[in-house]
Formats: sequence, C-alpha cells, structure tokens
Amino acid sequence: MSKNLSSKLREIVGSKYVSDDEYVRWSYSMDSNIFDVLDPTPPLVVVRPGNVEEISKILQLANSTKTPIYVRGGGTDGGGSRGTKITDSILIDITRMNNVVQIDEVSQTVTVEAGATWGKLNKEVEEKGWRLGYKGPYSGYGSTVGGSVAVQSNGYGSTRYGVVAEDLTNLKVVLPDGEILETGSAVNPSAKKFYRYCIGPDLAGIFVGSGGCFGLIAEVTLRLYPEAVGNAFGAYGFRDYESTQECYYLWLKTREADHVAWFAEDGLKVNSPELCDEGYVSMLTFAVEDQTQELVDARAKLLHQIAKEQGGESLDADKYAKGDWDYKFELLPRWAAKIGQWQWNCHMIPAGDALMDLKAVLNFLNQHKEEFKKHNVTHSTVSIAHKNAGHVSTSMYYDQGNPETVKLVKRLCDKYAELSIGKNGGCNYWLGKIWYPYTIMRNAVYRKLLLSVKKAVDPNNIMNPGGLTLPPDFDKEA
Amino acid sequence: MKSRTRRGRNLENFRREIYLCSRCGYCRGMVRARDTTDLVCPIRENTGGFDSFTARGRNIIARGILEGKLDPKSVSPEFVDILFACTLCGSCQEHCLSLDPNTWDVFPDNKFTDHKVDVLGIAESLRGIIIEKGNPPPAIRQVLQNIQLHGNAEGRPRNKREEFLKELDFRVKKAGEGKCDTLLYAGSVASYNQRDQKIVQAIARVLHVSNVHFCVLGNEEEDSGSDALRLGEEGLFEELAQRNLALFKKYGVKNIVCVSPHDYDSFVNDYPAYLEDEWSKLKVKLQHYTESLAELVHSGKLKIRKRLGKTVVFQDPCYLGRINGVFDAPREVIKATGAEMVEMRCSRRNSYCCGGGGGGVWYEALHKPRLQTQRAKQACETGADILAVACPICAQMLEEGLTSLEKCEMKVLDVAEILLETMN
Repeated sequence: MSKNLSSKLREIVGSKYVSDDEYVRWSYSMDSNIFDVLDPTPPLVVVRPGNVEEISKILQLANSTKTPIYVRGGGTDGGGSRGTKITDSILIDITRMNNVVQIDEVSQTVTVEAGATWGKLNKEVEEKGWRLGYKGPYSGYGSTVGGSVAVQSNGYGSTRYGVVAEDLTNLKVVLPDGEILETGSAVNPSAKKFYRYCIGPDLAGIFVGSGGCFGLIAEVTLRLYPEAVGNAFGAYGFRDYESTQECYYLWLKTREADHVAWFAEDGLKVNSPELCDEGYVSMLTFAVEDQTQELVDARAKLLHQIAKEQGGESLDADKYAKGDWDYKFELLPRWAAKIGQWQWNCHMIPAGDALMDLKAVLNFLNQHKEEFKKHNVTHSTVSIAHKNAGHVSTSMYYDQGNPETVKLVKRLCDKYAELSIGKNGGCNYWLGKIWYPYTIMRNAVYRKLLLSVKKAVDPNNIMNPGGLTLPPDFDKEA
Repeated sequence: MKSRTRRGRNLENFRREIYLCSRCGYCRGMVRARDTTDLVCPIRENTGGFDSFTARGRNIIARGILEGKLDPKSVSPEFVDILFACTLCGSCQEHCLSLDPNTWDVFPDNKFTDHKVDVLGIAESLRGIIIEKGNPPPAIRQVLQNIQLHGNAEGRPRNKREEFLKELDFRVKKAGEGKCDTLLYAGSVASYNQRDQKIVQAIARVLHVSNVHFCVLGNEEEDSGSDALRLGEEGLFEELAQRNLALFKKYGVKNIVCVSPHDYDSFVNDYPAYLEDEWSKLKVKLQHYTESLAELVHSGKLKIRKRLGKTVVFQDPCYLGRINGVFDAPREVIKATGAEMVEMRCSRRNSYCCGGGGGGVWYEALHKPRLQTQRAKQACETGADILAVACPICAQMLEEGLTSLEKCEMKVLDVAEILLETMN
C-alpha cells in the first residue's frame, strides 16, 4: 500500500521529495511536546510539495485512497495537536513552500507561503520598510506562519496586536478534495488581498485554530505596519502581588505596550534570582516600538507613570526587558539546555482575573513541590499579555531522558489544565490535547457543530483525523 | 565537557545531549534579521530536505535507536546516503541555541564550543554504526580501506607521498636529517592531489623565503586520521593517532604547521581527547599555516615586494573558522598583499561549506547537492577577481564549482599562492 502510494506521490512532486524510508519517517515522529515524547509516531510516508497545485493533487490522491493527511510546518507544536492516525498518514512537510509571495504596499499586507518561518517573514518585511504587528511565537526561527495559524499561536507583539489571527486578512486553503479556496476580499477574483471581514461569512475562521482538520493552509496574508524607528523598555519590581495585578491590568487597559510580561515568584527564581534575594515577588516588563520616537516616548511615559503610581520599583530595563525583545525567538532553547525540555501550560484569562488565576497556580505548584524536587523539575510562571487578556503560563522544564519524570510532568500538566481551564475559567488560545477535556469536550453544541463542519468539508475524514477531539472514524462516533 | 573534545564515538556517550535537544528546529534553517544568517543547513537546502538530513532529525533517530524503537541492524540505503551526505560543516551546531549557561554573558558571540550539543560527534557515532554493520556506501568503504592500506584516501602509493617536493627549487629538510623543531605537516590530501600539491609547494616556498627552518616527514608522514574519525571509523583513527604520536616523539617535533584545517582540527581537538596525557606531554605548538604566515607578516620577516591590485574574497574553511575560531589570520595575510578584500554574505561563523567536508570530496550523495557550485556562485556574485582558500579540499571543490558557472572569470588561489605572487 505505502509503496503504491509513494510511487503516486513521486509522480506528483518528483522522487526527490518523497520518502517512505523507516529512518526518514522516524525523524518526523515527534514535535516539541510531551505527548510526542511519550509516544513518538512516524507517518506512513513523507512528502514535501513545492506549490499549491502539487498540494491539490496530493489531497486528491489522499481523498481517493482515504489516506489520512497530517501537515507539518516547523514541527514545534508544543500543545499536541496531532490526531490519532499519524502512522497511516501522508505527512506533508510544508517547509519547501517558504516564499514571501508579495509585499503589497497598496493593500498594506504581506502574503506568504505557509512554510515560511517567522524569522524569514520578519526580515523580509523589515527590509522593505514595514513591520509585523504579531511577530511570531517564541519558537519563531523554526515555526512556520501556516502552522501558527493552524494552531493559533501567540507571542511577540501579542500584547498590542493579539494572537496571529487578529492580523490575518486572507487565507488560501487547499480543501480536502483538492479544490483551492480563497477567503476574505480574495473571494472576489478581481480584488486584492487586503481585508478579512467582507463579502460574506468569514470562512477563514474555520481554518484558524483548526489543527489542520478542515483543509491545508497554503498561503497566509497578514496586515503590515510602518517600520519601527524607535523602541523603549521598562522593568519594575513589586513586593506584593496586588500592586502587580493593578499595574498589569492598567498597562493592558492602555493598549500601549507591544509586549508585557509578568514574572511570578518561580519565574523570577529561574530568570532573575537576584531579584528574589532583594525581596521582590514579581517583576513586570514592557516593550514599546513605533514609527516615530515621539510616539514611543509618549507611550512609554504613560506606562512608566502607571508602574510608579502602583508602587513599582524601577529595575534595569536593558537587562530585564530589552534582551528578550532584541533577541526574540532565541531564549527558550537556551533555557532548555540549562534546565530541561519545556512543557508549556499556556492559557489566557481576563486581565482582571490574572491574579486570581496566578495565586491558584502558585498554590498548585506549592502543593506538588516535593514531586518537583524529587524529579528535578523546574517550573517558571510568566504571564505574557495579549490585549484585554492576561496569559498565565507555567513552563515545566524536565529531563526528557527520564521516563518517570516525563510521566510525572504529563500528569501534572493534566492537573494544571483541570485547575486553570476547568476551574479558573482560562482558555487555551493554541491547540492541544492537554486542554480539550476542559473545553471542547464540555460543550456538546460547539463540538456537534464542529463535527458537522468536518463531515461537510472533509467527508472522508482525511485531514488530521482524531484532531480537535473529532472522531478518527465517523462511524465510530457515539 | 565541551563539545569537540571527547573520546568515544558511541551513541550512548551522547545520550545526555541527544535528550537535551528541544526540537526547536533552528538547525534546519534560520533567517535572522539581526545578522546575515539566512540558512543553516546547506545540505537540507540542496537535497530532498527531509528532517533526517538535519541535526534535529538525527537526534530523533538517535533517540529511537537508544530506546530500541529503531533497529540499527536494518538501516536502509536511503538513510545511509543521508548520513554520509552531511558535510559535517558544523553550521547546525553553531546556530543551535543550546548554549553552555556559563557562556550566556557573551551571547550572541559564543564560540562554536559553547554550543552544548556535539552535533558532529552524534553524526559520527551514527556513521560508526553503519561502518560497524559493514554497509557504508562503496565510495566511503573504499576511502577507509585506502587510508588503512595506503595511508591516504586516494589509495596512492606511500612512496609517492613526498613527490610534491620535487617541484621545489630548494631542498626541504626531512625529519631525521638533524633537528626538526618545526614540522610542515602536508597531510594526505595536499601530498597527492595535483592541484593541492601546488598549495603545499607555495607554503614551503613562502616559509623558505622567510628564512623559517622547517622540515617535512616525507614518505614517513602518516595520515592524521581525521577523515577516518569523521567517517565513523574510530578504531582506524586511534591507530593512526598512535602512529603520529610516535613519529612526532621520535623526531622531537615542537611546532606543527598544518596545511589542512581538517588535520589541524584533529590535532587540536581529537588527539588530546584520545591520547590524553601522552599528547599533552609533547607540548607541541599547533598552527594552521595561515596563522604561521600571519605571524611572519606581523614580525616583518616576510617581505611583500609588490602590491596585489586585485579584489579577493575568502572562503572560510569550516574546520578552521567556525569550528576552531581562526577567522582573522588568513584575512590579515590577504590584506598584507594590498589586495582589496570583499566578503560573501555567508562568511566567518555563517560560512557556507564548499561541500567537501565530512567525506563530501569523495562521496556524492544521491540528491547531488553540489554545494561547490552554490558556493562558487555566491563568490562570483561578489565580483572579486580571486576566490582565496585556505584548505586543500576547498581548493578542489571550488575550482570544480567554478567550472560549472558560465559567466565567471574568477580563479581559485590559496592564501599562500596569493602571497607568493607578491613576494616574487
């Protein structure tokens, strides 16, 4: 079966870009999350298409043979969005399609192939005198634009510009039957790619955060902003959580910071232990960039003023805030090398509820401190804000080579999700198995509609079957 | 222990590092606005580009083997080809952000060895499995047999090793003919390859004209073992290292001037790891010849008699620049000739491999990556008159690369050859 499939795939993309070799397939058995550490799953065959037409033919082939499709970008998925039929699947490695298609100055948008990394996209738009609002997730030198849309990532710039979808204007999607769908203004064949909400219902929304269950995102168009000519940074230490919360809330309310981070006690211990020694329980940092220095100064002035009014003590902003911004995308791998592989527990929470959630999280971590100690697991809670939402994220850093430790972290992540999502009212923005039992599985109406959409768009259930909690086999759905 | 300085090409020795990999994928490709990094793995860019070509993919495969999920006895010819397609250029390790925390303060200007995951060591260990199971590509098997039987990868007779000396118009002293403090170690590639013989002759001439007293081992010279280790034949490397140690001891060598960055790297990194005290007791000073020439330029012992009115672009050899941090010496020598220097977009730590490292000079992978053509094209785009090299393998590969380009008048010259032009 796989040999026959491989030979048909070779006819589509050329033999160089297809492999069903055991070792090649195994190199695709893991993304960057704990589920794959526990259970690496190689696909049946790997294919690397070079254009949309080839993708279309691959999906037609998959549909005719009812072969599952799993699409992989940078392979940095931290939440576990893989479905349940990877071992039977054609894995489409999308990273050959990595061109910036067009920087359209008339429309103030950039269209990019799904396999381009955020690092590449940022560089190319900056070279043309523009910048991105949302600049990419923390893994932005490896993760791809299409992957980010499919798993709905947040990251640098989210405080001001929101998650990736909020700057999205258009998508080009290859549907499971091979047809090519344009969304937003591009529904009109005469129109440029410049706006998302027009013409009719926003069909891009079906594919944003879909985990690749409804179609393959082939091209993404994003809004552009004028080149940043200046930036400013702030870092403040706080000696109690209530003042921190007040400052955090007011900073978010202004919508003037491009990036706001809240380092809770355990986050401080990992990132800046000297601040713990000085008696701080929290640190807030901000970054601001804009098209004129006057705008930067005015926005930063407001943020500094709020911090001081709330009792924040000014810290070395170059040390604590600027580095993260200047070397964006470069910090997490360094931490992994120091204290272990990370597993995130990201979720968003209303700005005013951040402290409630944070306290519960810290209490949870404290309850398990002996287990953390015994297995040498380090945790670091850092809240990265976006717009009106706080974002509490405890990363657990662990030794991947110790199976007992891996199991412990997986168990604690499940409990953490139960607390933060199931009880505290948090919501995951990106996708993953950790969160589904407390979100999609608890809302029958939502899930029923998801399933109806899935059956309508992908009647043969070839796109990431088992993803998004949807059944891997339609006839087995209770 | 820092990377590149350890003994034992066995996957188990690298277990900790294999599990250190966070699978961020930066080793596959990275475009970074703050510097000129715009690709990381030239092999991935010029082949089918599957993850198995990259450090991350190899780490995942290594985990599979360590955990018993992949059977190393059943390695496929496709994966064997992929493993030996890698030129071990070290670019993935250079861009890996798994940094030694003690060196975070110098980020982003870390040395190659500050990057914790020894990607090259892991790749060499995987190759070792293939060698042990007896199924390397035929060309690689032949190279290893040649090194074992004839002391050089080409399989040329041992008694022809010193033939390059015949072209010289002065006599070079051989070890054993009196004191041999400073040894010019020609290495197996430059000793036999016709193009590269001109390089070692140029070096010898420059040293001679500068009144440097040096000797060679001639037909007694042994292969350094560098290629054997890179290709996964650790036992052969160990044997050769012992033979070289004995020779250097026998002749009381105090300074070794290496022609090939690959031999230089092996003496600097592999020999101390494998020979330990026996090597350190020698207290031998190691230099790549460009470092020796730069010293001669600085000391005034080397006289430039005419200015080179040409534009020169320099190819950083991976095992001289990125892996051992020697970037300035060759450039200083070139600048001393009065040449105008230009740089390729990918240079110094971001340099792009010529395609010859890690066995690439002898083995062409199935997907024919032809890095030599890519790199020659990049050099041509600078508009320079001369593409300067400081490695015999780079010279071979890039000359070949240039022949595939239609509109390029550039020629490849070694740093010593350029220097010699200004001394005549």
